[in-house]
Amino acid sequence: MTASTNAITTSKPQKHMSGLTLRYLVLSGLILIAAVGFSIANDNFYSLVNIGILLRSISVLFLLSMGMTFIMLTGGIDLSVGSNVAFSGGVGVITLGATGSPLMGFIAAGLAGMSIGLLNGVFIGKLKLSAFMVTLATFALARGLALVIYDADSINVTDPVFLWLGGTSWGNLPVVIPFVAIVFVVLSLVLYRTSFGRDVYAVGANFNTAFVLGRNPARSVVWVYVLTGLLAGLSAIITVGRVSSGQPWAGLYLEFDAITAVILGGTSLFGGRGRLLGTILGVLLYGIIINGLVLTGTNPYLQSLIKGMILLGVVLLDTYSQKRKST
Amino acid sequence: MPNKLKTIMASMVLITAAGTNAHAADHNLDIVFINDGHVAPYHVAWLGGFEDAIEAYNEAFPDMEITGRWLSAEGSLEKMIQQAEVTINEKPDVMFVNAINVDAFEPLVKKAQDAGITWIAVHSPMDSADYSFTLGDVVNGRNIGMAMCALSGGETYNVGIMLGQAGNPSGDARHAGILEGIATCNNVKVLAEQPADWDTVKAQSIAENWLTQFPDLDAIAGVTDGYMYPSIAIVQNSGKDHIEFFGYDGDIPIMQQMIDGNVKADILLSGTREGWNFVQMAYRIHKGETPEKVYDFFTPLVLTEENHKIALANGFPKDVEVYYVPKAMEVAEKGYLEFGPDSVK
Amino acid sequence: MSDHRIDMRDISKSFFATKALDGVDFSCISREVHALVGLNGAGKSTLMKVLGGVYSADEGTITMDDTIVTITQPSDAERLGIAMIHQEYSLINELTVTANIFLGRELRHAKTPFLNKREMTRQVKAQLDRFELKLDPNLPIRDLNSGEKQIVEIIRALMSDSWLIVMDEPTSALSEEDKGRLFAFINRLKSESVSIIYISHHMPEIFSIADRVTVMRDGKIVLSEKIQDTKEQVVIHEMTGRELKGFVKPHKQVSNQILLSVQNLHKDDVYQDISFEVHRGEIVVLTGLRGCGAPELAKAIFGLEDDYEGTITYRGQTLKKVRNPARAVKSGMGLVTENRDKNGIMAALSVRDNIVLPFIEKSIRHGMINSIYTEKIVIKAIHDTSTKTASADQEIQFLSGGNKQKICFSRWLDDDLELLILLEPTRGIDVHAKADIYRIIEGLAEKGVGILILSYEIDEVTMLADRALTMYHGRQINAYQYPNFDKGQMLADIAGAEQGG
Repeated sequence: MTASTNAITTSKPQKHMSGLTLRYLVLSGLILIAAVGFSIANDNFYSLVNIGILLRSISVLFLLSMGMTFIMLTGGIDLSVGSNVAFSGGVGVITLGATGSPLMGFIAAGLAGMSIGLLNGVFIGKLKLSAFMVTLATFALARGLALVIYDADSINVTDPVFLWLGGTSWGNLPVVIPFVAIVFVVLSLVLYRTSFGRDVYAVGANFNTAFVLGRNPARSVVWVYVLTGLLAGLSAIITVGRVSSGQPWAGLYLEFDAITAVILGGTSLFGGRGRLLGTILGVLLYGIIINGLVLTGTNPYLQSLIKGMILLGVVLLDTYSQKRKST
Repeated sequence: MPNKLKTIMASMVLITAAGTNAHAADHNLDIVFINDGHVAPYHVAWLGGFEDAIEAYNEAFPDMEITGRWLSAEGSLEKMIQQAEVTINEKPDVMFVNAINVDAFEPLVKKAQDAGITWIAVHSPMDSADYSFTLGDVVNGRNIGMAMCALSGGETYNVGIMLGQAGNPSGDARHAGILEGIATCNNVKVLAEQPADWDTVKAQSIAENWLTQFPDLDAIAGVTDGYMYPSIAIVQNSGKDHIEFFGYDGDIPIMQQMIDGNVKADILLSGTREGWNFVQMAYRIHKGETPEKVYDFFTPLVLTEENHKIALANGFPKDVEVYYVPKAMEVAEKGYLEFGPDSVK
Repeated sequence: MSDHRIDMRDISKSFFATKALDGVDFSCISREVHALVGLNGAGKSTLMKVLGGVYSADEGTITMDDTIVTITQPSDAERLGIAMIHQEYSLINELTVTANIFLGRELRHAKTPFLNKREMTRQVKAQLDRFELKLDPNLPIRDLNSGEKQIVEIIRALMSDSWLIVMDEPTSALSEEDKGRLFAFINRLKSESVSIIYISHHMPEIFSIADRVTVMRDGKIVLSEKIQDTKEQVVIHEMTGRELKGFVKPHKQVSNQILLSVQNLHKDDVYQDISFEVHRGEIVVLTGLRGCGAPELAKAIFGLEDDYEGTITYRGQTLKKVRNPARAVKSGMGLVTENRDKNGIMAALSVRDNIVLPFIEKSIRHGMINSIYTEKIVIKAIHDTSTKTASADQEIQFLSGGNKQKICFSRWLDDDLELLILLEPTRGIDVHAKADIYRIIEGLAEKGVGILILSYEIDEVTMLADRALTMYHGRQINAYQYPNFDKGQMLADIAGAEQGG
């Protein structure tokens, strides 16, 4: 009894499991190694301009990966986020064109993203279908909707307010970076300080237990997908700002980059384990490697190879650490 | 953990090796070519031609150092933008960008020009770009369509057309051209049209479907020769030897099929030629020449001599530039014949 | 088939400090149905697992037909003709009866890779005919009922030359009609030189088909007799007899305030016409055999099931029939489920997160979780249940079964708790943890919490209950008031024995 009380009081500051802490140290180390490696290969790597480019290029990935973290914590997956970026961007840009009001455009993009998320969430949470199947369907569906509403062609956007978030820089600092930081803080509060956050972990760890304990796990699942849909909508606004146009093929393959980054960040594929910080580190590492490969002019054939190896390495690492835990 | 570390360390070694390679020495002319993909046969020939040409120009002009590299966005707009941003920061002399969507690159063109980079928009023209390297897709498509009319024999002639990715300007232009050409006669009917997204696997399943769905299909046309490989294979396996093909791109194996197969017409782009033409163009600009702002890549129609005669007899316009198969194949393979160092000496 | 006999002599097997088998002698001969009975944890399954090669014994020998044999893996047992029929069927649903029976040793046309389906079907048909079974060998397994599936498993065992068949609670999922068919089949088997070890709790079954009965208690054989030389009461008496040290039920006054009242609760084929009350501060224990319907009853009360008839009144209000445990939690109910891993714990989460989940809404201040409040709860919960954990951050999956169970309890220990429902609260946990859990339960009752327990262990029932209700096949048999517990009668009730009731 004394032992347990002692343990509680001493453990207070170190709030989370050592397995993940180790993972974060490894990730930070890898980021450092990658950064040093690339700066040896190309002295331009450390320029402020390049760091700005790097961060801006992964800003959308930051948002989508944070949403994907919530989803993977519930034991789910969302293959539709990339298509959703195209679809919600289309709705936003068309609304902007029709009303002339950037605010209406923003709202429309957010709502469009959330509606795809709601569709995913209802099928997965309420009707208990497999997340992979459902989002594979909405992956195609949202892309198809995007092509239809855009009529497969891009739409130019000139409204400075609409373009501000994705297109503006303060010096070398793209405004989207502080925006991503704010989203990170808000999502961290949601995940760690609200009952919804606890439910996210509980659903992923054991849906049945959460239900028996009087929670509403099905509803939590729905909201997780809606949240990710909203983040896809925000990503769409950033993407439009970056390219001054709405693009029907925006966000192509981004879901895979997001899943890679989330897994890299230590979130378990099976739900219940993981932190947003890991995802941030995962995105950073992934982004640095992609940026560095371009910067060093690495042969594109080799780039695919390296990306594949990274992913394989991560999956191995995940399985390995799972096995070690279970023995 | 060790697994992971090993993987990353291995990657680092590879990256560093490749990186130092690309930045070995000072240079006078640095060319970067950002392409939308790198796996289709056309892309492979294109990027190969580009690399060979740089080597040949370096040999021919020892007084200057030409460096060049290419990047592939693997079909992703976001990746292409990132690659372009990083490249601009590197300040090369000339950038060829085969934009997945030109609107998305307007902000970057300005940035590149501010940094003193010559921006050459590839295939889809851009007003803001310094130059646009275009293909004359509508004209080429129309030539294919008219060839179809002239070689169809006057009876009802049913054709299926495989299109590009929805919204892709090149694919749309080629498609529009083919339809214009077909419209010049009454007997050619379009039975089916379907986008195959520049993907040979999709083209294969489309061809399979058409063969079962349309027993009276006479010809398959495509906006890229990439579609022809699986289509020809499937038609041959099905025993429907009467089906004819109309390609686009000037891939050598497809033009080969004009001699002993059922391919009737093709457009001589040839990735190899285009790669060589890029380097020639960059060299000319570097030497102070100013090509036309919209530079049309010379892309003749390819027919056999025999078919050309038949076509002319059936009213095919005489002024359309036609290369016969042997010459077309030689030119396609040896980009230096037209665009090598000799062409600018 | 020729006759065989198998003898297990002086078998011992320990798991850590617990002696699961302690010098057990057990034998079985052809043409005999040998019933093996005992309370949960008496060692029956362990003994059969030693015989089947799942466990190896620490000491002792096994002989077959007077030759010593070694059984270290299931394939050894199979080679000796020993087959285990499991409650979880090892049949493949999509394949036919024939295909399942020949799975892994299919007959082929000579010198070809092609299956000789006709010959396989013929052989299966011959076997089925031999036992006068009406079953189409070409039906897929998924179209069979539980009884037929068991028959297929047995036929499969026979066709791979098994002579000794171990059946573990074979009738728990069977209808009366299927039971009859199975027993007829078993009787036919005896005439074919087959021997059957029949594990069961059901006295009527045992006394209708067994030739011999062996009773185990605490890892030892306490009785082994020919069936005609013993009686149900004797068997039941021998099964019981364990006392838990370290816990004495305190004397207390049960309030006369009714907390929960169940009236004429009915669910087809599960439970019928159940009525009882739970007072504030009272511990009511439901007991029976597996399949007696008590867990489903408890789940109906907690709002995990809604397809029942009758009324449940809680705190004076009739509960609506909805599948909504959230309502139960809000109204001060708590539930500790019988299957910790399935719906009791959240394995990947910390002890802390496992504890606070039901309290989470109460801890919200200004939309955010108040971690000072939750931390108090966590410390109190761990302390009150004397759970042993390295820290509250420890993932719960690394705790022992007993400590996991304590966490499942601790998450309800809150001033708002009024009714705690416990399904098999001490299943699979050690004696110390058991005593701790009994103390927690009594402590709660003393504070006025009503407690409804389902227990399959008769000792636990008599040790904890203020009132005990016996059930058999979904029917309520008897009610006993503390301290007037007649263990023998209670066991007879739950085994469906004829006398008493």
